[in-house]
Amino acid sequence: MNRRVLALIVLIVAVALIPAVVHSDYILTLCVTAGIYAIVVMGLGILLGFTGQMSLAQAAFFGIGAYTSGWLTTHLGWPVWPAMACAMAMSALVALAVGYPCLRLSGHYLALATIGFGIIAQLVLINWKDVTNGSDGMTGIPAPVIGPWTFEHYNSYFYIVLVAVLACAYVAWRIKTTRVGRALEAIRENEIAARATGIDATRYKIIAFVFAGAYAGLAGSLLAHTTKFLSPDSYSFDQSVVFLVMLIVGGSSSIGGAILGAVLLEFLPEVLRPLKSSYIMVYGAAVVVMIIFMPRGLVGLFESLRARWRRGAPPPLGAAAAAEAEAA
Amino acid sequence: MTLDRKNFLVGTGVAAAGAAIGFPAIVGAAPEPIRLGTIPCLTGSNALLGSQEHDGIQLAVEQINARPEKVYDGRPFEVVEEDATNDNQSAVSALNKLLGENIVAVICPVLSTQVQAMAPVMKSHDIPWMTGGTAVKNTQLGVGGMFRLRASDGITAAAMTNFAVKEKHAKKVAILHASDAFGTGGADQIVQNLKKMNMDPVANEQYPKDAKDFTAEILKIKQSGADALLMYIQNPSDTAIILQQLRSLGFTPPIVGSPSLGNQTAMETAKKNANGAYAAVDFIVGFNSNVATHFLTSFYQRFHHNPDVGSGSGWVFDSVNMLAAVYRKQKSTDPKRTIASLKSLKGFEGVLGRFDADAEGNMVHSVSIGRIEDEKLHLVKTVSA
Repeated sequence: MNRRVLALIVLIVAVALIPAVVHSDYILTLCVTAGIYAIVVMGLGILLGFTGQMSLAQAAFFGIGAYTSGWLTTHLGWPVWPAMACAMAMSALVALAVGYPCLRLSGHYLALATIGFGIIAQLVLINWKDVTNGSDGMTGIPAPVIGPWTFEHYNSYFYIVLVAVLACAYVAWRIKTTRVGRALEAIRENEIAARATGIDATRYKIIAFVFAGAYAGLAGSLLAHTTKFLSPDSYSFDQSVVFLVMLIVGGSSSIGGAILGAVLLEFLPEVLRPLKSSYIMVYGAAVVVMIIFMPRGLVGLFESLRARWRRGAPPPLGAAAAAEAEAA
Repeated sequence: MTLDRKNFLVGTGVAAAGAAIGFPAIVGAAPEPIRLGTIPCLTGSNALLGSQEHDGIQLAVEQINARPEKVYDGRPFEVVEEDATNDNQSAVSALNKLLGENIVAVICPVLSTQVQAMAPVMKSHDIPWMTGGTAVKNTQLGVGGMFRLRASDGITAAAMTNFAVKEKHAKKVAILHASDAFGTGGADQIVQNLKKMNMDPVANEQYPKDAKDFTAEILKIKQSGADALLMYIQNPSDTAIILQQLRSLGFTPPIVGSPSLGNQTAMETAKKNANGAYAAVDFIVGFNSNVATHFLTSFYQRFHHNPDVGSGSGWVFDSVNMLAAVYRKQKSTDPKRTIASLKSLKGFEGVLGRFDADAEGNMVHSVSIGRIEDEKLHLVKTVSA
């Protein structure tokens, strides 16, 4: 077993011990939410980080998953687990339907098309009252059950989210390390060259888009069964931007970066809470500084520092920014 | 007396015993504060409302803590404030943080969608939840200690509809509302009231969150031939922009708005564009009780600007004073006793008028219709549920 795998196992065990050590509902809620956002951001990472395609509709797929799961369990009385699978499938299907025409576009045009879809999706959630209950929101969503155990409380729900995060990270890693991943990378680096080598770029971009949608759908379902209340306000364009920032801050082409970015940006506003209303200024400034000085995200920064450390002397202060600029 | 070993031990023993007996009395000289949780929206697009909520609470707490007996037996209020920001998930996080702070009651954010998002957490805590969120559903969420200190949308929408149809003789009513929970909930209530009068709206337009241009919605309303416009909007700055655009596009029929139209910030921003419009509001300056007059004076002295009484500072000021009155009467902050006392509360005089709790926890049962002239509201009539 190499040192990297061992470190990963130690990290997973340490994270799994959090509910045993932390008894604050407040901290556990944040951990659960950060884990759920990490899944959405990993999905976006497959699209943006692996494939180089920009989407600002991730909150819409997140909402579709949440409402599908909520509707199936509250209106049809389905158990949570099949509803979660359907939520994932529904978001993936919608992503396929949207991706097919949209992914013939690229760059700014694709971003604009996904913004449009995101706004339309939110308006549907508000106005399709028979299904979504409109702006009043959907209530009474049940918690998952396995045999005699109900995952009602955050300290038990934490493990469902942890398993989902690990499963999604594994799938993303498999995608990255297989032929599909290499095709996606080729498209990201140079789509014309990729097409010239026989890669069906549109097909692979749609595959990435569907994965991004499925990840967001699963995360939406996970959120629905922990908050037990859904409101269209939570699935706005603003939320899509937050997911994008999480990915960029963490490191767009890295699975660990997606998780790190989601956790960091979920906890950062809470750490800044003592600053009261001026926190938003510090939060914004911190994000801008991170994006300017760490163009490859936190993971890129760690990699640069580690590379310098291995080469010899410990990095001097300010070396990180220089290394990042060089890498960029 | 010589200081031998025995005398030293006796002396130190007596001193230690005296200190042991006296220490709690010395510590007890500072009565334990009563910790009150609040979750206003201090950042984001509803920060105007949140800062008003913050100021109203601060004023009430300062006034109560300045009394010799403070809340009761010398115990002061201590406010624990967390920012609800502008989204539901942050509001839930803020609430979870507050619940770990040994608080005895919570003054909730004014946004109904946040109140509803917090409801699953609220259900497992038997403490009083004071809200100014006006969505009808807020007091029907199964949260035992929920109390609403403003008129619900059901009452406000009925008053607006009746005024437009019966007083202004409107035959073609149009609706313009925000697409958030507040706006669509209120618009639904208006549609239901129109149906009771065998009418349907000739236009029912909604605008997306954070929109700044309402030309398309206004032109559609104009083309519908509406002879009255009912607006259900929470955000005062949206209201002011819409009034300006309605006037510049030549819309002249009567306009009747939800409380934000009579909001001080909206009136001051809209200036002459608001003249002649009507608002269904919780409170009108000039038609107030002694409690309200005292509040207005002391608020201005403390913060050097006028309060938004209805949706902003008034209901939170009343919440703090109502809780203080209950604690003083029962000489306890026991949450279950407090909830029981609030459920049976009748005739409490506050800034927003008289409060009488009903079975659901609704405390206010009437609204006033006011006409705006030169940034001031003039009472037209008061409508009871």
